[in-house]
Amino acid sequence: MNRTGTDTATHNQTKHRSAGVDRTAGGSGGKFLTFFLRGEEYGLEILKVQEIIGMMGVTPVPRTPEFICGVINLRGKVIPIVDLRLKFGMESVEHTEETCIIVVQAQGLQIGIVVDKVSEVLDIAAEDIEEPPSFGTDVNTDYILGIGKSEGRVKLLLDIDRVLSNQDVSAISSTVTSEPSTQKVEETCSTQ
Amino acid sequence: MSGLKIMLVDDSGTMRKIEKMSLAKIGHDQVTEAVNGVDALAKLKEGAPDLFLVDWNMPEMNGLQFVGALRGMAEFKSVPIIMLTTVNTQDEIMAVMKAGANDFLNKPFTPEALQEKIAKVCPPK
Amino acid sequence: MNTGAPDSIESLNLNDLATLLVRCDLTSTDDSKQLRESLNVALAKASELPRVREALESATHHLDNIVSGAASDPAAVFSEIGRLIETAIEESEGMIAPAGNITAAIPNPPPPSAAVPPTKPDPAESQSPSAVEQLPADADAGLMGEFVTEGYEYIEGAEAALLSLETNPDDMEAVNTVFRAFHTIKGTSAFLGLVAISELAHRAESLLGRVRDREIRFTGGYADLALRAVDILKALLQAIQEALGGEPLRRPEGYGELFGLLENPEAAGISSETVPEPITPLRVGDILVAEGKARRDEIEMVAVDQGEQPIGMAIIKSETASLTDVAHALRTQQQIASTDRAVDSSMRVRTDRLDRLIDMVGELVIAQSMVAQDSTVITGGHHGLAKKVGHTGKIVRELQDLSMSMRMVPFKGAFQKMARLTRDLAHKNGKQVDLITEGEDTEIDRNMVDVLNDPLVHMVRNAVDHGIEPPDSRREAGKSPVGVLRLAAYHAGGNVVVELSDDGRGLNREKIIKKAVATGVIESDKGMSDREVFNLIFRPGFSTVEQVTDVSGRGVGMDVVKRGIDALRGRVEIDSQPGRGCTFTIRLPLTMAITDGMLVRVGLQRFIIPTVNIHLSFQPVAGALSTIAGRGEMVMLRDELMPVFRLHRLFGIQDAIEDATRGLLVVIGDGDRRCALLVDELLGQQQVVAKSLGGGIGNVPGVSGGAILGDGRVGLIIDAPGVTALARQLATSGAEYVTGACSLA
Repeated sequence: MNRTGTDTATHNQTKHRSAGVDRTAGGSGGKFLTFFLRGEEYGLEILKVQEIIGMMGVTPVPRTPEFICGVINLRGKVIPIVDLRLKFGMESVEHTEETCIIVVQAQGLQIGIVVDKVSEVLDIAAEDIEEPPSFGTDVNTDYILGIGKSEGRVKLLLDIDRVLSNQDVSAISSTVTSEPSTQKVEETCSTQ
Repeated sequence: MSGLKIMLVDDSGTMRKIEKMSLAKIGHDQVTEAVNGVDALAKLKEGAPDLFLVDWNMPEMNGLQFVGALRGMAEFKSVPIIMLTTVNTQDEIMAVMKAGANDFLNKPFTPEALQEKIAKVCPPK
Repeated sequence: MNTGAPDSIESLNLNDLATLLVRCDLTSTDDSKQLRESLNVALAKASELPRVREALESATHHLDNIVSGAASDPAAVFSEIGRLIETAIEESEGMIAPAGNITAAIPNPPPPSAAVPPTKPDPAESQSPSAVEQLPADADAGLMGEFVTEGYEYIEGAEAALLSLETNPDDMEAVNTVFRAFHTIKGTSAFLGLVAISELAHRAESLLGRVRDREIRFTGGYADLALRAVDILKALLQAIQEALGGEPLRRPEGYGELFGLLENPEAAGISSETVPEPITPLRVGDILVAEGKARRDEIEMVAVDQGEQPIGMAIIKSETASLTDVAHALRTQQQIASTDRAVDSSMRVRTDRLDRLIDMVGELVIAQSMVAQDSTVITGGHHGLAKKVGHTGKIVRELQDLSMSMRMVPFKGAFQKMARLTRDLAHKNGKQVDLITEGEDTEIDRNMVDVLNDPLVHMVRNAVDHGIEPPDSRREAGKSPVGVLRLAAYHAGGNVVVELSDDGRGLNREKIIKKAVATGVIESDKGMSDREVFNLIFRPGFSTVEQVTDVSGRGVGMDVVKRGIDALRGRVEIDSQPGRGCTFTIRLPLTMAITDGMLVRVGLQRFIIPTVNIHLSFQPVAGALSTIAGRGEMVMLRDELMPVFRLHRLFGIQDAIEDATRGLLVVIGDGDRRCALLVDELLGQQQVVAKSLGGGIGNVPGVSGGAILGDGRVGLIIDAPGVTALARQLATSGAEYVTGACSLA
C-alpha cells in the first residue's frame, strides 16, 4: 500500500516550526557563551552562536529602530546588526577593542549582536539554572530563559529568539513616524 | 461473539471491510485484520485463528509467501487457509495449492459462496 | 433473419437483441421465432432484475400477439417491442454497468454503437445511453467513498511507478506496484458492482501481468496503454465520487476505445516501439506547454510549490496535466536529451545553480576590483604585481561575460507570443493590425523575460483594443485601414530598450485629465506637461476605474506595466501624438545579476543609485531653487519644475551638505513622478551585485537592497520609486523629515 504521498505532505507542513517557541532549553542546562553588557554577565545557548567577529564597518540602514546598527558584509553575505545595549534600553558607549559582534542564528536568520565583551563558554547544569525572577532585572523577563549560577556568579541566560523576535526586528521598518528622534545610530555603530 | 476466529489478510481497507461484512452476514464476527503477510505474522502472537482468508497480491509479503511461511511453522501447519483472489489459469491455481492453501475463492464472491468454501475447509466439529 | 445471428444464443445480450430486432423481417416466421427465443434467453438471464424482466415480458407478450395475428397494427406493436427492449437495455445498464449485459458475470466489451434500437433512429442520440450509468441500487455510500479514497491512493502509487518506468522500463518493483493497483481496484470494484471500472482494471491488470511475466516490455505503445488506463481509472473514480453526490455516473471519454485496445493491443498495432514525436523544448513543463497540454503559468505555479518531488509528479498531483501527457513529455524529453548528446553535446543545468554561479562570478568581479584598487597595487613599486593583477582582471571579466551569456536568451520567443496575441486580439475586435518586430535576436537575461511578459501583454492589448482604430475610422482619418504595431528591441547605452509603438489615435490629454481629476489622482493639470499627463495612466488609482475605452482609450491595467518594469529596475516612458499614435519605451538593465549604479555620497555614507533610474545630475544655481507653498522645495530644470528631496533628511543622515547649490541634484523617476534627489557628490560608476539586507530587517522604504562595495563594506542600493514615494508620503503627512527612526526605548 502506497501512502507515502500523504505522509510526505503532512510532514512538510509540520517541518518548519520556529525554534523560538521552545523555552525548555534553559531548564535543561548545557553550554552557554557568556558576555558582558554594562558590567553584567549574560549567557547565550552555544547552539545559537555561529561565530564571534571583531567590530567592523557597519552600514547604517535608514528608517529602522535605533537598536539596529545597520548591516555588515559577512564574507559576501549581508547580515543585520543589533546593538544589544540599545535593544535593552541601556545607554550606548564608545566601542573599544573588546567590543565585538556575536553572529547568532535566530528566527531562522543570521543576525549579529553587538556586546561589550565576550567572556567564556560555560557548562551550566540544569540544577544551577533558576526560573527568571518576575521583576528586578534590567531586561524584560520575556527575554530570559533563566538565571544561571556558576563559580558563585550569576548570569542572565537569554532567549535570543525572543530578543530578536520578528515584531521587534522586522516589522518596524516601514513605519513612518512624525516624531523626530535623536540620531545615535551612526555615531554608535559606524565607528571604525 | 460467534463463529470461527478468522484472520483476514488484505492490503485494501475497502476490501477488508467488504470481506468482514460478508463474514458477519454468515455468522463470523471474530475477525482479526492484517494488511500484508508481515503484519499478519506479527498479529499471530495475539492468538491462533481457526481460519485464514488471504489475499494474493499484497505489498511487502504477498499471499503466497505468507501461506508458505505459515506452513513452515509447526503450529500453523494444518490451519485452513482460503486464498481470496482472482486466479484464472491452471498455473495460478497450482501455485495457490502448492503454497499450501486449502482452497481459493475468486473475487467478487457472494457471502453464500464464502460460506460454502468455509464449510468445505472447516468441517463442523 | 438473413445475417448476423450470434454464434450462440447463450451469449446474446440485449444489444444483440436490439440488432436482431432491427434486422427482423416482420413477415418471416423464422425471424419472429428467433426473436422470441432470444427474448426467452434474455428473460432467463434477467431473473434478478425485475424491471428488465418486466419490460422483456411485455415485449414477449406483444411479439406473441404479432405471431398469433392478434395485433391489429403489427408495425406499431413492433416499434413498441423496440421501445421495450430499449427500456430493458437502459434498466440493465443502470443495474449492471457498462456493457449492458444481462449476465453480469461474463464481461463483454461495451456495445458497438451500431446497436440502435428501431424506435430511436437518430444516431446522435444513440451514443449516449452507454455513457451514462447509475450507481448500483444497493450501493453503500460509505463503502463507495472509502473505495474511491483508497483507489486514489493506489492510483497515486501507480502514477509514481509509471513515471519511474518511463526512464527504467525494467523496474519490476514498479511494474508490481502498478499491477497491484489495477488488481486491487479490480477486485474491490467488482464487489461493489462497479462493472465499468472493474473490467477496465481487469484488462489493465492483464497487460501489466504480461509485463511482469516478461512477455512484453514496458515501452512504447504498451507504456502508453498503461498510462491511459491510469488516467481513465482516475477519471472513473472521480465519476463515482460525483455520482455519490447525485450526479449521473458518467463514463469518461475514451473509455470504450481504451477498453477495446486493451483487449488485444497487438491487433491495434501496438508494440513496444515508440513512435517518435519531433519537438524541441527541453523541460517537461515546456514540452507540455508546447503540446498544448498545459498552460505555462500553471506549470510555473506547480514548479514553485513542487518541493522535493519531481516536477512530473507535482504536475500530475496538481492536476495541471494528466499522467499520460506528463509521461509523454518525459519520453520526448529523453529523446531530445539523447539526440542532443549526439548532435551538439549540450547539457541541462539547473537554473538555481546557474544563478548562483553568476552571483558568485559577480562577487569575484568585485573582489578582483578590490585587489586592483588596493594601494599596494596602485602605488607603483610593484610593477610585477600590478601586471599580474591586471591579467587576473582580464580573465575575470571574460569569465563574467561568459557566465552572463549562459543565461541570455533572445527576445524571439517573447515577441512570437505577442504576434499571436496581436492576431487574436485584432480578430476579436474586428480590426486589422500588422505586427512588425525588430531586433528579435537581441538578448536579455532569461530571468527578466518572464517578468517582462505581463507588461508586454498589457501594452499590446491596450494598443490593439484601444489605440488602433477600427478600419472605417482609419479610412475616415485618411490612414490605411490596416494598423501597424511595431515591437522593437535593441541595446543602447548598456541597457536593453524595448519599444512598442502603434499608429492609432494616440492618447487624449483632455480625457486623461478629466478622468484623473474625477478619480482624485490629481487636483488639476495646472503646469503639467503632456508627458506628465500621459504618465498618469500608470497610476494604480487611474486604471482601477471602469472601462477606460471611453475615456482615454488607454489605461486598463497599465499600473501592472509600471510595476513589472519597476521590478526589473527599468523605466518606461510614453510619447504620444493625437491621431498619429503612441510609443512606449521601456529601458531595462541588461541583467539583474549585476546592477550598474552610480555611487553617491551623503554625509559619511555612500549609496548606489541604479544608473537606469538616473536621467541626469546637475548642480543647481540658486535662482533655479524655490519653495512653493503646498508643494515644498522645487527646482526648475530647463522648463520643468520638479520637487527636490534631500536624501540626508529622508534618511536621517548628519554632516551632509545643506546648501543645495554646493551639492548635486540627481534626477530620478518617470514623468510627473520625476524628482531631484540632493546628494553631496557623485563618487563614480560602479557595478554591484544586489543582495537582500538579510531577513531580519525586512523592507526598508527607499532601499532595495545592499551591495558589497570596493572596500568590503556594504552600500545600500536606492530604490528610486520607493524613495520618491517615501518623500511624497512624508510631505503629505505634514511631517517634518524624520531623522533616525522610531526609538524603541
